[in-house]
Amino acid sequence: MPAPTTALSDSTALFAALGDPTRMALVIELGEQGPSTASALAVGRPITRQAIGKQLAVLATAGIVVGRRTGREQIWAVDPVVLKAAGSRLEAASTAWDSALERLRSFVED
Amino acid sequence: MAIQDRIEKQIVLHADLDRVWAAIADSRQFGAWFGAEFDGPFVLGQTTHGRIVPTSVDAEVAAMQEPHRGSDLNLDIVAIEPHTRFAFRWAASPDTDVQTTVTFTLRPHEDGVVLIITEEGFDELPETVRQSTREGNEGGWEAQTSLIARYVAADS
Repeated sequence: MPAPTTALSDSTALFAALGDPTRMALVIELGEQGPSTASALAVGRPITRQAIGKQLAVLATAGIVVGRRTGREQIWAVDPVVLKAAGSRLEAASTAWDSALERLRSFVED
Repeated sequence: MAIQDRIEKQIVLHADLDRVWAAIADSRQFGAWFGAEFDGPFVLGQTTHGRIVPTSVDAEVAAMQEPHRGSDLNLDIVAIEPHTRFAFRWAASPDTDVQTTVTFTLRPHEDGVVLIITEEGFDELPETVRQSTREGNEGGWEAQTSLIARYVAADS
């Protein structure tokens, strides 16, 4: 269902950060596999741990991921607060269908 | 993490099957409760052009729809199986070309009709993101929002 534009759609830094295929892939991997380190994320990728670290720093500046230092390496995770806001699109669609179904019920149950 | 890319709703309507089918598959009746008016009937394989017009069923919702009066609402009709299934594709949001598929499935029930509505195709959005990235087009923001939304919805 057509949903209201989210507050995030004008968040330029956020989407500029996601506009890079490597960074996008990192966000998807962190989202699907859970928190990870730059070393682990470098496995299977043609770029170094250091390069991954730079991309994660860009994502962190945009507020998409957060890093937590444990021992020698940072553990990176997708920031649930930012993504919560972005999730409003599906939530809005779901709520709109609840409302539409109640209208359909009123319409047919007379 | 499982990814949610579809919405599913199920309700029992206390009305007979003919009545419910007409309310969904007749474009005039659909418009009355949904809050839209269409230029013609729903025809399989064709696009029915229409626009938002506040619903006649619920004054509160009508007031919320009022600011959107006249906004395009175009449905590509992809299934019409009388008394059983009606489906269309439409824009997932007002500001993207990406389409989702909405399916109404009806089943007789002792108290009336079981209606299941699904909206799916949100998982096509990542491909749009890849395309926009490849073309150096930054207009894929909305699609990216939706892509992220899949992970959030699965997490909440």
